[in-house]
Amino acid sequence: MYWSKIRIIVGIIVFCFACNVNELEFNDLELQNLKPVVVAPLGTFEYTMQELIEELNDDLVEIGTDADQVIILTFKDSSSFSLSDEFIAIDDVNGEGSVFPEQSVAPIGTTVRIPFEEEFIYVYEPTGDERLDSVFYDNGTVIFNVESTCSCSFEYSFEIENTRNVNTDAPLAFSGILNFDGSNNPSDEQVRSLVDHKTILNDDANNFRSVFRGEIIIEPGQILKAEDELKFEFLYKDQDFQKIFGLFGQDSITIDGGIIEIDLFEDALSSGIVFEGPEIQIDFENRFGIPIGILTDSIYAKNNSGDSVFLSGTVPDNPQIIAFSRDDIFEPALSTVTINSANSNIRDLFNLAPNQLTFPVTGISNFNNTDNFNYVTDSSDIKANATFTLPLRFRLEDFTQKVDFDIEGTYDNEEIDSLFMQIVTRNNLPFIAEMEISINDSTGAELFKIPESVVIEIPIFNAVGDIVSDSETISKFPLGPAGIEALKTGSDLSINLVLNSPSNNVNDFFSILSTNGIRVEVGVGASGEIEL
Amino acid sequence: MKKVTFILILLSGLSSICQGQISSGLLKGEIYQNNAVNPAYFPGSRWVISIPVLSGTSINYNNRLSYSDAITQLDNGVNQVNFDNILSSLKDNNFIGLQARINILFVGFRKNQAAISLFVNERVEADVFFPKDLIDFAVNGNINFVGRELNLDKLGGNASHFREMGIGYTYFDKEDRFSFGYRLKLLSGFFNASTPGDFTASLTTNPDNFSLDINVENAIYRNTEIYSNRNGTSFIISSNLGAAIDLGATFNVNEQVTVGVSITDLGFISWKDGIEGRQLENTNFTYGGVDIRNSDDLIEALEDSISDRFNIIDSYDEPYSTLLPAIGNLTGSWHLNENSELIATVIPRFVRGNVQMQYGAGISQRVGRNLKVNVSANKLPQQNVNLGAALAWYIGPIQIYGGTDRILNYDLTTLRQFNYTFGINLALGRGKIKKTRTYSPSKFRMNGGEEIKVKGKDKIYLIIPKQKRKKPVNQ
Repeated sequence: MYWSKIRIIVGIIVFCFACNVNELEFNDLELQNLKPVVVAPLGTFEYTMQELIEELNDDLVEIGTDADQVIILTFKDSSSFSLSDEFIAIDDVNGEGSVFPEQSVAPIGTTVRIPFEEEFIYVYEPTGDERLDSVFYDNGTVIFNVESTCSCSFEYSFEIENTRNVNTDAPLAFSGILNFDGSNNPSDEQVRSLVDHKTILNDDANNFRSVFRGEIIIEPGQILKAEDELKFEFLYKDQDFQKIFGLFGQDSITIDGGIIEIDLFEDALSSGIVFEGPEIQIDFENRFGIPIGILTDSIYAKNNSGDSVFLSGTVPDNPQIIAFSRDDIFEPALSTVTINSANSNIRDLFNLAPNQLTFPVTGISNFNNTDNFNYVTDSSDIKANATFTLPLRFRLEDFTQKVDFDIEGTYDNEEIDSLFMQIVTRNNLPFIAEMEISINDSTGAELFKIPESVVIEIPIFNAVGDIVSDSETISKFPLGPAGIEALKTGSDLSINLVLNSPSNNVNDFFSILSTNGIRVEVGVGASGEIEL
Repeated sequence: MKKVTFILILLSGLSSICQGQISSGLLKGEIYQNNAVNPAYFPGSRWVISIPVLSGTSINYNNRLSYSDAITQLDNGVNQVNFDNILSSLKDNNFIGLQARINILFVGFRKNQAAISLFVNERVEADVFFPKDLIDFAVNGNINFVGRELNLDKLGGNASHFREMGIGYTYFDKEDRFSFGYRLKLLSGFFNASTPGDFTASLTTNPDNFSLDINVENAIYRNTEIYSNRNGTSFIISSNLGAAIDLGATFNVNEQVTVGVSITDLGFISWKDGIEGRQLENTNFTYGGVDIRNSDDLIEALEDSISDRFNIIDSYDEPYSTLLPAIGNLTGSWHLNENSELIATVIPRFVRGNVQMQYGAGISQRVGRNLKVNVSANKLPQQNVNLGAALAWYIGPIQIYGGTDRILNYDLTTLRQFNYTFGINLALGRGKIKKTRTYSPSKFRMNGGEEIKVKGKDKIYLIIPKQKRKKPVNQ
């Protein structure tokens, strides 16, 4: 019994032992300042070649890949040349002639008829030294005038034997009877259309023949004097030719191909890029019956700075022959001129990072053989379809890309006392990259630059040169007090990428596949003291 | 503000557990209140009647962090809430819990082998779970979770105020070999604040680029309360109804050993009236920042890109159900004699997928006819072993009882856990319950003063080992 009571008493004493309630103090409590370290992704930027090029939104650029998935950029433009006059020009053709009776006749009582017939040769002369074989007319007229000085009537016909109707083969002819009215000498003018007519020229000398014949009719009381003459003249006027055949000789022409604006280089690619295999292919459709030697040495590239490089080399500097169709004069002859790095300095044009390509093409007709039998038709022209192909297989030599983003007013947190950036780069471009990060003010002046640049290694290649694994680089940069101060006052965070090919051999080029790119992921970490 | 912050920190840092008290439970059928611990327990009185409010009040509180763990005094005398200390004191998974029970009304009647009771209790059950990582994240940022998942699946809670009304029945074997009982309870909910049990959330920070993998599912906060619009009817019973059952049994294995087993609060409450909730729509994404090249305003782009990922629905009012935390109880007793017994108990509590274990072992002593006391060593979750004690004391028909699982070290600056239960019952007809069980003395003293171990009992006879015949002393 006693034992039990003792246990109860002890229990009560222990129960109430040592509360120390007075030591509990909840007034004027101070909360410990927090010093969290927060890391978060800031964002990414990525240069995937396919996306980069597609972003250009340049209608002139076609993007494709070859069998090896190498990106190929294609620029296209076309032009035409249709001025037949550059090869053969024929102005108005005219001729004149006279017939002299060389006798005096004064008949009495009966009418006297004195016949005459005389042949005339004329030259159907083009403006140049062309030798014509034949011309076929679409339009035009021949105007014939005849008059006499005698006081008598006469009957005549004038035939141009070389100008004939293409359907009937009848020569172009003029005829008539001119009666003397007693006071005025007789005269006449006639006009014939050249439609459906042709002129076949003779003797390799552009000659054509005509015959003027008729009778002088002297009635009683009329007199034919010995000095009288019958005069005529004719004029081929306003000729339009359906076809002209002949030997046209050599002429120079210029095909103005215009200017191709290349935004790719202006917006995305700056200098420092050396393409291995740029190529210009010009497909000609020649509807002239004339072979032409094409010169492409007038093609040139110009960049934003105004620098220009003209195309030169074995192909641009030497006429390239454009064939003509011998069998069907209305079907074009197709020819292709290919200009590449093996036959020209085309690399230099693209290495200039041009924003304009201008390609006037000059040509010399019958360059290789002046004995070619030529023709032009009313539909003759030369179409030049130029295709600039740029396989993205190149070298980079200090190729620079710069990305700026606005940070003005974004950093106003006084509680942050340290800051660092962690940058992850994943590269599957076949290039070494070096990235520099700086903070600039609104004028572009550098306020702070991270001392160490990020070196982005090349991916891992297999034996045949294909990329088998991206390279990944993780770099951490503390900004420090200077960097934080620059963030407060800075305007732009600038990331500058400098890319180089991994080989110093200038003949080593690297392919850019459609999937190739470089991805940069930026994370930031901040710590500071937060007073609660 | 600092006080509020401190209290929040204290509550969050103080990993607490509130469960049924061990010490008062060891009084077993001595008090009516343990009918809620094991329905097979019932006092040895004809009538047991409550004195409203006074009959039973119990509060359980258990935490890992003490005042001195959270607050340190600086050299200048200023008391400072020390987050570093708080973090170092936390375990991976922690929770806040608060449980209170007030007996509003009960009437128990026992006759022969049966006892029935009617009861009404006002109860509060509150459990808030949170991982240490959450506090770490809030205090230190996500630097400690770079390359490691911040998993918040364990974050959540359930706090309810409800009323339980029910009827209990206890049956006693005629030979006193066993007893069993059950309680059927109607639950009426008045307040609930909870999150769904299937909430998941995680945040992983990529160690390279610091991208954030964020996953949030079933992020719903539900707040239900009908205090503001309750009418006379809902003052008694609300439209947020539920049901629960308690089951229990005891077995007298032999004259020395008794085993009791129970499972209580198997039930639920359906909440459908007065719900105001918010839901964060499921989202699962990796946040990698913004496209720097195409962002004119970097900060605005960052804000937009992250806020666009989260969509909050302010008008969530879907009915839902919550489970009551079920509590098991396994108690074994070794009867030393008619008044003394050694008792051990194991109490698991099942709440939101967690099992919280507490253990106790002690001695119970009846002192005279009117007093029963026990002292026990208790191990509560996340606590060191402490001493507990309980007593039940009859003064005429009045029964006074009380208990706590902590009787050592009540220095409030280092206090990490406390609980108590206290009440006054009215017990009538104590002598009218026939005591069917008698206990054998463990030893028998022979006439010569020699003590002999008792093997058993047969009716009025004690069975002892066969003794050698002894020579008469005077021979």
